[in-house]
Amino acid sequence: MTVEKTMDGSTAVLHLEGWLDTQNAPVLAEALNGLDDGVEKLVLDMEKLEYISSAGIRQIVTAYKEMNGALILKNLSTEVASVLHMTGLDKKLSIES
Amino acid sequence: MKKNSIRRWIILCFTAVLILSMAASAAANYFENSNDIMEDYGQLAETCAYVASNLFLYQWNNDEVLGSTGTEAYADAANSLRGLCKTYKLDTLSIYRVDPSVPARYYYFYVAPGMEENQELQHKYALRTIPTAELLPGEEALINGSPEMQLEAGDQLPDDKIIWVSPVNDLNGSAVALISMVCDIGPIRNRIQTDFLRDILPFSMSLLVGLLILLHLVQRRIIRPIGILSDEMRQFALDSRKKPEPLKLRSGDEIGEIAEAFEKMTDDISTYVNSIEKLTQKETEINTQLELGRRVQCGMVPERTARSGDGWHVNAITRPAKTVGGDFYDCFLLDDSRVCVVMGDVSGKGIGAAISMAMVKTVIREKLTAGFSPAETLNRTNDQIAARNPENQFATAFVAALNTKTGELLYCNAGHNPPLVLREECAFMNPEPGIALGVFENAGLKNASYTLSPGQGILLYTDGVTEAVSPQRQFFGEERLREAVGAFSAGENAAEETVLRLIGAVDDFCGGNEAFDDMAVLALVYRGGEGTWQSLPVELAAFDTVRRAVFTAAGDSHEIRQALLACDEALANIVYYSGASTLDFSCKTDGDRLCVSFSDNGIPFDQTAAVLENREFERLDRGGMGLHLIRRCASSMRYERKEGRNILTLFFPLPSSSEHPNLWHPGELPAEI
Repeated sequence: MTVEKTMDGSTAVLHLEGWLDTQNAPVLAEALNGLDDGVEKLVLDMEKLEYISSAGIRQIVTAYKEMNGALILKNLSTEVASVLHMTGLDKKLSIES
Repeated sequence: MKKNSIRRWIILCFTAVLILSMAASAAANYFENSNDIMEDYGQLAETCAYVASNLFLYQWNNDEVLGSTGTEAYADAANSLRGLCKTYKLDTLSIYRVDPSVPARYYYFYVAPGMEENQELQHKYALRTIPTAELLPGEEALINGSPEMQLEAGDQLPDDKIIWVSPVNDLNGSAVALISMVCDIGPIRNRIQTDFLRDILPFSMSLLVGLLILLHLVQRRIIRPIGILSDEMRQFALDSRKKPEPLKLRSGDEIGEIAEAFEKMTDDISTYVNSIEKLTQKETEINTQLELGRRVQCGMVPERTARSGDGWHVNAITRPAKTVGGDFYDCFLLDDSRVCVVMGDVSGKGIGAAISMAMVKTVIREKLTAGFSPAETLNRTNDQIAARNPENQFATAFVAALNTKTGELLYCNAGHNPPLVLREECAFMNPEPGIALGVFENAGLKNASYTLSPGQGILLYTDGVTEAVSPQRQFFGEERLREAVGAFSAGENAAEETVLRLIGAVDDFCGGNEAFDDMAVLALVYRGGEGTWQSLPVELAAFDTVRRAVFTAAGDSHEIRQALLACDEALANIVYYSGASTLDFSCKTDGDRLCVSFSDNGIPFDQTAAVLENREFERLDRGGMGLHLIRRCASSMRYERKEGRNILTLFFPLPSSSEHPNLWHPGELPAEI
C-alpha cells in the first residue's frame, strides 16, 4: 500500500491507497510517526483504500489517541466501513463521506 | 326452384327455343300467305283490266260514247264498268289518259260500286282534265312503254289502299289509255291474318307438346337421378364410414354409369376409412407401449442427473429423439474415493436399441462394481455381447473412474467420441479409439490415465451432439462443441452450467428442428479432495499468496473480502504467537462454502477456543481484535491438533448463498468488543 501526505495549514491529510493488511500496517505507522508536532488535525482519506485489517485499525486508534481525537476519516469504501462497523469504531471516530 | 339448377336452365332454353321457332315459322308463313293472296288479287285485277280495256278499245273509244256524259251510250258504258267494279270488289275504277307534260289526267270514266259515290265521281271527273302534282311511278312506267300491270302501294296512298294501273293497248301495242283500279286492302289483310292463325296454331301446339314431353324426359332421366346422386354424396360426405344403400339408378345411360362409379367409390372409401380407423387404433396401442418403454428407460437413464460428493460434481442430460433411444450414461460411487462415469451409444434407434442399451449399461455397471478396471469391464462386456448378438448390434462406450483424492482418471474407450477436458482452455482428450463393443470377441481394450487438477473436469457426450444438423445441413461438430463450452472455470454449478450451455447451443444450432439423433451429455468436475496443501513462509507476507489462492478459488466479492480479513487475522496470529517454523495452507470451495485451512507446527494454540473479552475503545490498539473479526467473518471454524500441528479450518459462505448470521448487514447493532 502507499501513503501520500498533503498539508493544509496545520491540517495533515494522508491519502491511503491499496490494502492495509497486517503486513502493511507498519507503512501507515511510519507515516503517522513522520507527522510534525505542529499538526493539529489529521485527515485520513480512504477513497482508494480497498481493505483494512485489525492491524490497520490499531494504527488508526493509535493515531486517534496521539491527535487527542482530532482525527477525521474520509471517503470510506463499503468494505472498510463494514470492518470499522464490526469493530465498533464507527461510533467513536469522526467519519466524513 | 334453385337459381342455378339445371332444371331452370333447361326450361329457360326450351322456352327460348319455343319462342324463336314459333317466331321464325310465323314470319315465313306470313310472308308466303301474303304473297299468295296478293298474287290472287293481282290476277283478278288483271282479268278486270283485260275486260275493261277490250270494252274501251272496241266499243267505247268513239265520239258516240265519249261525246258527252249525258248520252245514253256513255251511261251504258259507265254502268258496265260499275258492274265490273262490283264483280271484282274494287273501290273505284277509272279509264283515263295522261298528259305527262302538264302533268294532268283526262278521265274517260271514273266509277265506283256505290250509287252516290259513283254519281259524285262522274260529276267530278268524267270527261274532264284534272291536273296533278306528279304522276304515280306505275303511270310513268306505263307511259314509258312497260306492257305489264303495275301495283301501286306507295307513300302517296292511304294505308289501307292499293292501286293497280294497267295499260289499254291498241293493236299496235301502244297505250291509248290507262286503267286504274283502287282496292281496299283491309279485307286482304284480314284474310292473311286468318290464314296465318289457321296455319300457325297447330304447329305451335305440337311444338309446345313436344317440348313438354322432352322436358319431362330430361327431368326423369337426368335431373332426378342427379338429385338422388347429389343427396347420396352429401350424406356420404357426412359419414364416410357408413356404406350407402344401392342407388337403383341402373338406367344404362351415362347417369347410370356415374351412379355405378359412385357406388363403387363409396364402397372403396368406406372400406378404406374403416381400415384406417383400425390402423389408427393399432398405432395408438403401439404408441402407448413406446411411451411405457420411454418411462422405463427414463428410470434407467434419467433425463437429468446431478450428483456430487467430496471434491467432485457430475451433471448429465439425455434427450431421446424418438421416445426411446440407444444413448446412455451412468454415474455412481465405486467406494469412498472413486467415482465412475460411463457414456455410451447403442447402434440403431427405437425399442431394439433401448433393450440393448439396458443390457450394456447393466453389464458395465455390474463389472465396475465387481471391482474390474474400466478396460477389464469393457473387454468382458464386449465378450458377453459378441457371444450372443443376433442382430449384430454394437455399442460404443467410454468408461472412466476418478480418484476423488488425487484427481487421477483411469479410463478406457470402446470406440466412443473423445471426451473434452474441461479447463480454462478446453481441449479434446486423445484416447486410444479402441473398438466398439459387440463386434469382435477379444477386443483387447486397454486402460489409460489422465490426471485432473482441481477445478478441471471432463465432458462426455454422444454423437447426437457433434452430428446435430442445422437447417443449412451442417454438422454441429467438435469445434462448435469446444466453443460452446468456452473457458471453463470450476464454479459451484460449473458442471450443470456447462451441460446446459452445450445443450442450448445445440438447440440454437438446430434452429428449432427436433434433433434427429438422440443425445446425451455428462460433465464430471474434479474440485479437489482435501484441497491441495501448499507451504507458506511463516511471515505476514504469506498473506499475498493466501489472497491470490482465495480469489482464484472463489472470485472477488464483498463476502470473499471478509473471508480474507479472517484469513489475514488468523495468519497474523500464527505468525505472532505460535512460534511455528513451517506453515501449510489449503483453499477450496466445497458446495456453497469456501474452506481455508492453516496447518502450523507451533505450540498448541486453538484460535477457536480463545475467550473474547469486551474491551474499551482506548485499549483496542493493544490487540485481540483479530480473533473477534475471525469469528465475525467465518460461518464456522474447526481446530485440530494432529501430529504435532495446529490445523485451523475456516469456513465461509460463498456469495451465491446470501444468508449468513455472522455476516455484517447494514443497520445491525455493532458487536460489543
